[in-house]
Amino acid sequence: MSLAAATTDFSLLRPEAALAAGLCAILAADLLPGSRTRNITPWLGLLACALAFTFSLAAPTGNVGSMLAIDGLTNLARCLILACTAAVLLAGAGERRARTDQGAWSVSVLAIGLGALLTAAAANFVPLWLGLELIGLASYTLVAFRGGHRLAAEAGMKFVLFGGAASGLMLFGISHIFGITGHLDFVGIGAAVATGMPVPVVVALAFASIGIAYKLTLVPFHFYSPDVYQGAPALSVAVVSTVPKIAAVAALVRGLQLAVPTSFVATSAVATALATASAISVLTAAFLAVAQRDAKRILAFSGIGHGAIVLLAIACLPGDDATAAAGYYLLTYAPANLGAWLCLSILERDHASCELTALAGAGSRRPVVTALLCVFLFSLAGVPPLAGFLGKWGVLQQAFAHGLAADGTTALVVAALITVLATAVAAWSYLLIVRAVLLADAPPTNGKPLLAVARPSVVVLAVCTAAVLWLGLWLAGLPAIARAL
Amino acid sequence: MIGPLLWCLVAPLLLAAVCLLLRSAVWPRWLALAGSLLTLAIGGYALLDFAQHPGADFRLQQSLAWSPDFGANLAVGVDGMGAAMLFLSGLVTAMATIVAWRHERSPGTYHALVLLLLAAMNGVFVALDLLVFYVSWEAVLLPMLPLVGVFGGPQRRYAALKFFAYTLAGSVTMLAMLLALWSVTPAAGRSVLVPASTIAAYSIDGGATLHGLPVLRTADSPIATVHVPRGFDLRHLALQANAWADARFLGWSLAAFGFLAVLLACLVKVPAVPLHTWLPHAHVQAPTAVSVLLAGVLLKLGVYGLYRVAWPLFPSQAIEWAPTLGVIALVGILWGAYAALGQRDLKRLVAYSSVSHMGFCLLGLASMTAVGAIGGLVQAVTHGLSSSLLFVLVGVVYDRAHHRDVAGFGGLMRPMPRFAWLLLVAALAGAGLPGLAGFVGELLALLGAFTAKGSFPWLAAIATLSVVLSAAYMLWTVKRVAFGPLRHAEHATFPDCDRRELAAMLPLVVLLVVLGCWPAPLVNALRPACEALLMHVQGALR
Repeated sequence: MSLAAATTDFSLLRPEAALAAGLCAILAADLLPGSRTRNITPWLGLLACALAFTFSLAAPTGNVGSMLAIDGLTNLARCLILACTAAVLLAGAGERRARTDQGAWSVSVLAIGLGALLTAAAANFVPLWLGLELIGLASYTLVAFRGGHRLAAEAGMKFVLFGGAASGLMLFGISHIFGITGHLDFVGIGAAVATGMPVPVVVALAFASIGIAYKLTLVPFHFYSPDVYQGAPALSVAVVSTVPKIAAVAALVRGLQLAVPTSFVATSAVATALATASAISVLTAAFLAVAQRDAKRILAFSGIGHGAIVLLAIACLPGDDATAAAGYYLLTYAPANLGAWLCLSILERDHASCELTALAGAGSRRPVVTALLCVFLFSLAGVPPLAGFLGKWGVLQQAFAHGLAADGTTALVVAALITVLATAVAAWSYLLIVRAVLLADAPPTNGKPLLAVARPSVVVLAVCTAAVLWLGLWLAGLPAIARAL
Repeated sequence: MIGPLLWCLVAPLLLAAVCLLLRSAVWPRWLALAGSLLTLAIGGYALLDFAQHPGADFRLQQSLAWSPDFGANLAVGVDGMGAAMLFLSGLVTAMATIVAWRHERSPGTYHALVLLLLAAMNGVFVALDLLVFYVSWEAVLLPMLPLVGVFGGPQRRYAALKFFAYTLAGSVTMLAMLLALWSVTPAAGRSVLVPASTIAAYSIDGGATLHGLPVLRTADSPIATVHVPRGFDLRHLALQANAWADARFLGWSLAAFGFLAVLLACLVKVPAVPLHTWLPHAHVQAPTAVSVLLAGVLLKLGVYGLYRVAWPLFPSQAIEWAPTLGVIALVGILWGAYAALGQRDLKRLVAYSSVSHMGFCLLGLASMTAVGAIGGLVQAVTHGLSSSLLFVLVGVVYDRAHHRDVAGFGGLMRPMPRFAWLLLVAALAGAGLPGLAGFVGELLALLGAFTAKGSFPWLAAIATLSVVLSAAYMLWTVKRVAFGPLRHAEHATFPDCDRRELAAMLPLVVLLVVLGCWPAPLVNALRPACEALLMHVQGALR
């Protein structure tokens, strides 16, 4: 793929256009008086997502100038991003019904989806930056969506400050790349360094990756996530903790495919560096998670660990198998993570807190939601036969295959073993939540009747459960994804 | 389309879903009973088939493609041991269901969890594919956590989490082993040399194929070539035992890593001292029926894992580690018996006696003799029967007295003669009285150890002491609970075992007596597989 051959075919952008149109429609509907129009805003967003999803299925591939690359990876990421965004919007339509800020909430969620689509398709640092910023700005408002709540305000503030710093560092790296190579598009950068990777370019690329590491919550760019997740409404975290990760992984893979020569990515030094970063993150996350006393913080550290495991798959690049492993991992992670946060958002409403001590008795008050939460947590922990197991299986298999090959990188095997051990430690942290909601004695109820779970949430939970059960046994899924790339 | 063994997996899962959806208090127990009786029938049929037509081959085989890219299949089949374990799993689950017949708290959920547990246990016993084995092995944990943690006693949380954490931590490294085995195999598979004796033992068509793979063999040659594809078929993995020993893994032999991974997972489940501390807690806190399942079937998973995975895949490591395992087994046998002597809680007492008796399974397998291996496996079956019976009996007396303190009973023979006699039978079976099934396994395991090389005769000689110890704690317990004058006047009104309780116990008693007097069918069913396994293991020496 060279710049000269790049076409500017805007019909490739139909999914993005559908989402942007949905955004405008919601903004317009929100201006109309009356609560009924506010209540339809999530449904408008859902419609836009459905439309965009249809466009993304078997969408044509090609380039939009030198800015965006629409390929198999983009389309996979698009489908996953749109499904997750739609699921959160649907849940919000029920859980947040009749709120006055419903329109603003829907816009924010949809904007995250749009930013994620842009990021996942970016073949140039400009759309990549724009996409990440769109995700970031919408996330900042979304996490601070509990007006007057001290922790929510702190979460939003912290998110803005850390996000701003990460963006700044990323821009710093991008400016150096432009200064050295004279290009912002990945293909041009790749061509400029095709003969060899000078150290300044490596350093600049590392800086430019910080924005992505921030979205993937990799150590040491993870500091914000426990505080932000704890303060934010659980439903907001459902989207903030899932969708940007998918986009970030797609962007990272594309960057390594286009902007860096394959011969450099294949070196043992790159694999060792990425595997080391992954091992540090996964260990940190596992050991810090068991020390937490709040379900949301535990899930935040779980997100850090899961981001690290995807990085281990990326350390096995180049090769579609490694990309497929990362993609399948996200496919198994998304329904479990969304489901867990949706369950927590329901329990949070009952108990007014997600601290482990406050969640006692959830099992007897809401047996089904609690049981499903446990299923999602076990999937996140990677217990077979649930989805998370096969996701981990795919990544570890790649790490072992590349590490144990004749000229393989030993660090990959070591990182894979560390991941396996960290899984056992992290499983304990999930058990802390299970103990709190399922096993702890119920305190006397405060007499307030429980609100029924809204019907849209029931649908989302059912879909997530089905996905977690089915993906755990769909061993043929991994190669199927590799073929779709 | 779905063969009998796959039904053992599918039917409990479907029945569990029905249990959850029904919202009835009565139907779930019937469905649980149906699921377990189906397993019992299929396991019993296979076991009788092996008793009548002994062989080391796998029967009732079926294989559905799972993922051709990974070489993973939903492959099932049983040899003599698999059939015996399937039979035990069905029988013990049926008895446990009868014990929990009047389970009052959320019967739908409870019986659905039991059915899920049954499906997972059956999956382990019928798996011919290592991936199916591993998934089932881990899936056992999911229903056990709520079964102990929600339906258990006052300290259920601690017990359930400890059980979960111990067993999960023990088995995660097995996942690394699985992936490492797959990764060091070339994509096209590898050709391996197989001795003619192996083909004679396992082949079902006179040597044309072995485990579904064509055999290349020049006439009269003692060695044949088999091309093994990359995948997870346990029999194919066993054929490549030498390749695992040669492959490197982080500077180790892959076989050494793999063997330790499986060993750790299995020793936690057996449980071997000092990895046994989860067992007394789990037993004491679990409801009676779950204790029955735990002692009757779940502990056997560890022995089965050694027999099915560790020994066949990593034979030279098995030989290397045998003396150490013998010592671990001996420590378990003696420590379990000694600790049982000091227990006041009846359930803890039975739990420690399990630690002691399961040590004989380990001793027999570690002795690396066919007799010892048969003994170890027979012991696994018979201990499943006798410990289940003991736990049912403890449940009977707990239902009436609402405590399990040995010192709080005495003279129960007068109000509850049936209970007292059954307790005596169970205790004698546990103590290994000749004529009852417990004797057979212990005798064969000790015989195997006495005839084995190295330090095993000494280990066997010391292990014999435990027979005295187990007679002591069992009979002393019976004396304190059932005999003597009635210690508490209110116990005089205790009703004797009712028909439901007898229904849960009599099948176990009958089997204990029958197998004690006439163990030939079980031994015949197990012998060819054990002999073939030992031949395979000894072959690794050459």
